[in-house]
Amino acid sequence: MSRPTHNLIPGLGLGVIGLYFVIPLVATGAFSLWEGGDKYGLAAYAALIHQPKLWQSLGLSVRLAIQTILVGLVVLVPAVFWLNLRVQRLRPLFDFLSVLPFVVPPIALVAGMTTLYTGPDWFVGTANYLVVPYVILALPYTYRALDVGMRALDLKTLTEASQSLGAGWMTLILRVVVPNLTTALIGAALLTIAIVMGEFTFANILLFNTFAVYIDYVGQTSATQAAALTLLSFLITWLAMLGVLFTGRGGRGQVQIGGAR
Amino acid sequence: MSLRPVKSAGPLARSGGLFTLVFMAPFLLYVTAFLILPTLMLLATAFLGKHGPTLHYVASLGQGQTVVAFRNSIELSALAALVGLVVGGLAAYFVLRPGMPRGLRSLVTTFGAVAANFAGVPLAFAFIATLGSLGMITVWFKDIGVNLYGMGFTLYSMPGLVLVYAYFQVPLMIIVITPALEALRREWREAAENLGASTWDYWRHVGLPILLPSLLSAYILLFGNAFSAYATPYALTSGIVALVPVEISNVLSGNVMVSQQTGAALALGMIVVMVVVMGIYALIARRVGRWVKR
Amino acid sequence: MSYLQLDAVAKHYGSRTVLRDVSIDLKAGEFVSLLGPSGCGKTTLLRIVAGFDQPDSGRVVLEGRDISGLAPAKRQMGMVFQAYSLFPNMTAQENVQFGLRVRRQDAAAQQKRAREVLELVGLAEHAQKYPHQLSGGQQQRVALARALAISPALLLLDEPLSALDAKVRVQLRDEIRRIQQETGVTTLFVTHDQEEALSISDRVVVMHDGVLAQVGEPAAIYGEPANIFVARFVGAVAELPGVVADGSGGMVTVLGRQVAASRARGMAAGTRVYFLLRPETVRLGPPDAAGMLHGTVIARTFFGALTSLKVEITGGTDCVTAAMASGDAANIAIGSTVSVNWDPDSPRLLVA
Repeated sequence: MSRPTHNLIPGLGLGVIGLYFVIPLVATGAFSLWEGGDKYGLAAYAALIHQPKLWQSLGLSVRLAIQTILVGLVVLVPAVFWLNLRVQRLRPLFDFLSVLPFVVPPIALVAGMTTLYTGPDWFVGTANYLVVPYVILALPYTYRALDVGMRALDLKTLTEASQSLGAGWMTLILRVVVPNLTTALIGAALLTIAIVMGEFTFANILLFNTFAVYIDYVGQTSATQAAALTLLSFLITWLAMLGVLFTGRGGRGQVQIGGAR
Repeated sequence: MSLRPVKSAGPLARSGGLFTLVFMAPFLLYVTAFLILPTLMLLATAFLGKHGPTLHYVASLGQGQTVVAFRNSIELSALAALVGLVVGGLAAYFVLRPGMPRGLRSLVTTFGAVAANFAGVPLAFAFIATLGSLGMITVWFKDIGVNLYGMGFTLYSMPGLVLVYAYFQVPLMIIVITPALEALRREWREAAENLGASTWDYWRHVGLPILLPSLLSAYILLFGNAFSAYATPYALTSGIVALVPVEISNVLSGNVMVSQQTGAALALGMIVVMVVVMGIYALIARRVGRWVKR
Repeated sequence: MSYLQLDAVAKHYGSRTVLRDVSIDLKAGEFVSLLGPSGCGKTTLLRIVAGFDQPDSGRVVLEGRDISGLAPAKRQMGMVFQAYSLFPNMTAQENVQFGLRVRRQDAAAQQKRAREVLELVGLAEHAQKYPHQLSGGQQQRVALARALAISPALLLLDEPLSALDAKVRVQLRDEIRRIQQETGVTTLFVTHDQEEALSISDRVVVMHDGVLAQVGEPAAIYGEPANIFVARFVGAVAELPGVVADGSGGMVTVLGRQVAASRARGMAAGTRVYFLLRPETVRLGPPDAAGMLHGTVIARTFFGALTSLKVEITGGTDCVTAAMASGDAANIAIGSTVSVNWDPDSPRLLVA
């Protein structure tokens, strides 16, 4: 404790690592302001604001994120609830299923889905179809967040207490379990947002114009606008993660990673 | 007739298989339909030709271009995982050292969470803006007389990809290894010192062996993370470095003249690599974790 | 000449003084306890001896050699920590061999020595088990064996029993004493448990707020507390306010009555004192005029062979506790009036 701790090398090491992380952001910021030659300004941003396609793609990604959250919760909350309350013996199965998306890379999954589902058009033909794989992508993180949250609750007591008051199952889940899981749910939701907003694999292969696909598209025509969008994307991730960390304050701030590599 | 214990008559007691079905079915059906069946479909597609079962497509994985793509993908992932493991591990260790400024930890945690999720197309663009042939740093170096690209560096290469991958690998490593580092007890360090061990002795015989299971699973996580990366190499190299995910996307998008079956075989190959890696992990983990309480 | 000498050791954390010029001498082969409440500086002192903390001033001298600046690894001291200090990735035997391994001893010698010390602590048959397969008590035995394996110049015990069950604690305590006597290793033992310190030590050092409150043999610490802190901290004691009435006759005024206390002899009349009575020196009897004090029994606590009765002294709210054979105590009902007596040599007087 009182022996002098030599933090010179650790300090330097962290400094170098920190530079590695900061420089690309600063360079991207500078690049986004470049207007050719020695001129710098907000031209790239001004041009972007007037692109309807930007707002369309951003809107689509946000909508998909929200839908993914809802579908994910509807599918997972009852299952994880029942898992924790009554069928603990199924836990190995759940643990296995929740690592599967890790073993089956997104690009492999999209290959399988395109061969398996070729119609009908109302299903695979609209951007809503993306919600299907996105739920799978978010599955490990949503499952983990819900499971940790429900373990922390005394589900058995909560359930017995509400049942002795005459509540049915739906009432129980919607009125008792979900409100008590707010922290876990918000954490899972924000993580899902981070994943969906950056997701590129499925959208690109299935040819839907999400935010990430739009950034790629812009990148082929205007490098400075792409840089500006990159910063915007970083900002969105930053906000989502700050949200996760803040909601995690009550329990254990579980920061996980999903993301679109 | 046998006497059975009287159960309480509440709905809880009556909820047997039927309730389990109602609660579990949506989830299990969903996972089956959209994760397991597509995977099995790959298997079927890869092994079925127009005229029944065939090994033709799987055998085509042995062709030159495909072998190169798999080798590149595995090498890149192994290397990017190693870089993440070492740099991220050291960074986490440095941050946790006593005497580090207050607030550094939460800064690193928050930034790490962001950076670990900041990947794909935007990440590729950030690096192109930084170290691309016209990137800010490249230009800046040129101005002071250092021509990075003239010296053989290029962002659109294996080393370049490793450099970019580190941006999400290092923070991921920091996030997953920090709890394991925190679990190293001060008593172990002091007991070792007290018994005459040098810092090196401590890490060699105590610290690293205790961390080994965590390091191993972190490495697997980082490997899989890099192996399945698609958006980053797609936006960065546009095919200059052959990688399996990009090859698959070329097949699926119809950019190359090969059959869907070949795409399925490629995808299946990726899954096999992951399964093999996880299998090796399970074997080693059992060996190095003999002492772990189960 | 002393074997280990702590010479005016002082330590501050920021503005807080943890140790003020503490000096202690240990003879070779001696078992000395550092006893005190948490925060008294005893653990810091032990860590300074081990080398984990550096004193701000003062010296640690071992066999005439100043080791104050020496790294922990070079001090040849065996330390046993509170708990969980075994390396979880090594078997009991590997743990014990660790100190020999880093000394690059040959494997055969390591194994021989490990078997020796594991036998000494009675765990030879558990040599191949990992720490998580051992009970808390067994783990601490392995930790002890590990510390002894390097034939330490000094054995340092940092509350090694505090995490154990009461029964195991007593067992292991006695065993530590036996092993210490068998090996003759000079030992410094930190504890906050006075019973532990009194039962195991050659000498006890009572610490309070970073200074030595008293140093002495267990009987002296208990029987002749040097100050009110030691009296209160070590053992149970009833504490009544007193004024010396007659210095030559050995009489003290306590709660309005003149009572006998031979230690008042030689004290000036009018001196305010703490009048201290250990429970086992108090005798209760039927109320009569000859009684020194009178009171009412207000509580009874049964300890098996002994029972203690709490007596509120008439004329105030002060209480005295009397410990007596349970059979005798059974005859005294709660609420009954009793006389409180003692041998005039029993009370201890400390100037207030």
